Amino acid sequence: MKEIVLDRLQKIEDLEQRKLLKNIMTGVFLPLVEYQEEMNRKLEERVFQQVAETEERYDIYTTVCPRDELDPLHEFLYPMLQQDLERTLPDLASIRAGLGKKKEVKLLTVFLACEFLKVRELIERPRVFGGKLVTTQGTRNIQVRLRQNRAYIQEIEALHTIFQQNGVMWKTINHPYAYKFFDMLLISCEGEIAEEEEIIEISVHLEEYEPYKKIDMIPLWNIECLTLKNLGFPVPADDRVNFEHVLSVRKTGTEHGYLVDGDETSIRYSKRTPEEITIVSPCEKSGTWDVRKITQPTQGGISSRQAYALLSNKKRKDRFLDGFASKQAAVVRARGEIMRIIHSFEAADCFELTHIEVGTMSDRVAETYNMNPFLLDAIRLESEKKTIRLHFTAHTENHFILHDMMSFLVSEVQMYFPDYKCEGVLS
Amino acid sequence: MVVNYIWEAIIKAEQNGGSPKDICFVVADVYSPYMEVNNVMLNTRVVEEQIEINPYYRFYDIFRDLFDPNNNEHMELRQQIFDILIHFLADIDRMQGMNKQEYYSRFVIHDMETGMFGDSCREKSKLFSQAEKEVIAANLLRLYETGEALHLFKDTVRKLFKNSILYANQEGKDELLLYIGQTETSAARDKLTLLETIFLPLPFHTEVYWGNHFGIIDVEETMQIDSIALY
Repeated sequence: MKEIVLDRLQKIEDLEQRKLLKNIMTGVFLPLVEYQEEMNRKLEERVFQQVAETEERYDIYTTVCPRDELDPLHEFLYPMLQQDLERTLPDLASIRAGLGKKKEVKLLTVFLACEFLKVRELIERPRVFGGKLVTTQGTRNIQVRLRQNRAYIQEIEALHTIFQQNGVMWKTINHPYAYKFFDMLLISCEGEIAEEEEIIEISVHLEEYEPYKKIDMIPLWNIECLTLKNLGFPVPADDRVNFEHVLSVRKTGTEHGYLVDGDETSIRYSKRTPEEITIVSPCEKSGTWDVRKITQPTQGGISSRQAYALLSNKKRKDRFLDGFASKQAAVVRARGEIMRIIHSFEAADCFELTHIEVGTMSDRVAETYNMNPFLLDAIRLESEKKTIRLHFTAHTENHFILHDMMSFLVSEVQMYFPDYKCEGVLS
Repeated sequence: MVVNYIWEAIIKAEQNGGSPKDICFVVADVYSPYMEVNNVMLNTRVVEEQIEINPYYRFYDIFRDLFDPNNNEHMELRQQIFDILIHFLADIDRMQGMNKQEYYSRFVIHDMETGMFGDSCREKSKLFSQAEKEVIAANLLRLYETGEALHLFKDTVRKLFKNSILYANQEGKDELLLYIGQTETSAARDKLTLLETIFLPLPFHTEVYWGNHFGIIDVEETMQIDSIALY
């Protein structure tokens, strides 16, 4: 419209009239046009918002950081496990007891910053590495074995249970780092350990894994454990009486996701309104409730620099069809659907899905793993399923979490195609 | 395509690759009281640069005072104001028919063009004309509403490739035979690939015949010597 006005102004030859027109246009007309265009844009936005997905409150962000660099006041990242905050060396008494009973004792947890294929070798073929135990009495040679640390994976599984209890749709957690932790188990130690000794240092040489070894790393995510106090009033539900315990989230932030953690005997269900969570429970007494707060990052906060990339299972917001598809009951099983699912995640930015193979095909060494092993398909036999093989190319090279990010995308596709076995291949 | 309303003139001009700026609306000296656009040629098929209109057909309340015959001052100014206002009214007109479905199809086209189905599909979606994109968008929306993938695949192919015929293999194989009645070009092949990607259910695959139809015994048209494809 502006262009038309400028064009027409040029056309008036009488300068007096041109000035008049210019005054009218700039005074009233152009603001009117802008207002009209703004209104049209807003209408379009409203229509879009009606179908846009609203579940972004439950996006999970993940990363890993060295213990010394952990920011205790970070706006949205918290350690996955509280006990990670303390540095713990095993005490000698338990080592002695373990060695005496021929039991393996956990010495340390290490993070291996290497790609999935190397990690898998270590999981499948356990290796023994040599090291040194330095105590107040001298240095001893020790032998250790590496075993994948499953504490963080179990934590993800526990979160899935909480999602279920709260009736929130599950999205695969994109946490590649959680799968790269290993426990060092002490198998044997040279000589006897006296009672009064104290450990000064433990060092283990991991041979070809040595360059990837990182000690004292803590996986983080944006989930904080809170306990909230409440007031409850009983409400009858036909022949049952329940108590509505209301938790206010006004103080802790209404824009975040909250999940109530508790066993099913005390929680029938919970409801969420923008400012409150209502827990419907047979419990009469008011008290405190365990709540997981899924903090969503706000724009403009100051975050400390991070050595490892911050990942998330966030979906793009500017897509119409993603929201539309999630509101429809029909299941679409086309190749394009797989592409849509994959490209709906921001995590797919560094990949390009080149082609999709479907059918029964010869097994090959898997390059991806299922990040939702706890989602079991109870109907079909694993061995009778056809395979969907997704071929990816990556835009970035040599990134040690590339295969894990691919696993995340493939695991999401797997949720939509339970009658197929999904795997990813990087070419 | 007779132009009856001011908005039609603008939409037509845009479809012919022009810009609304190039159209100039003027008040006709002589006009029919029953028509808004007053073409010199009643059944003309081209959009003129200068379009004479009857402003009182729909907008009497707005324009009743602008061209008072007793006032002949500032004619140039009034003419340009009139032109600009008609453009503005045409813009408002164009929002009249907008509804949820129209917006949805607009969003879907935008999604396709911004790589919802990946980069290669984004490139291929550029090959379609606006009208073809709208066909795809409408069927894509229907796909998610009904899940009738195979039907919608056939429907889309039929609409975008005029002489095509589709056959389903009845022998229990998940196979479709497509006869596309046109010569094979890389653009046409890319278009078809995009449709297969979006609509075709996973286990299905297609056999495509471009220029020549495969022979069917007893169907005389398909059994012409030198133009039989083999299945």
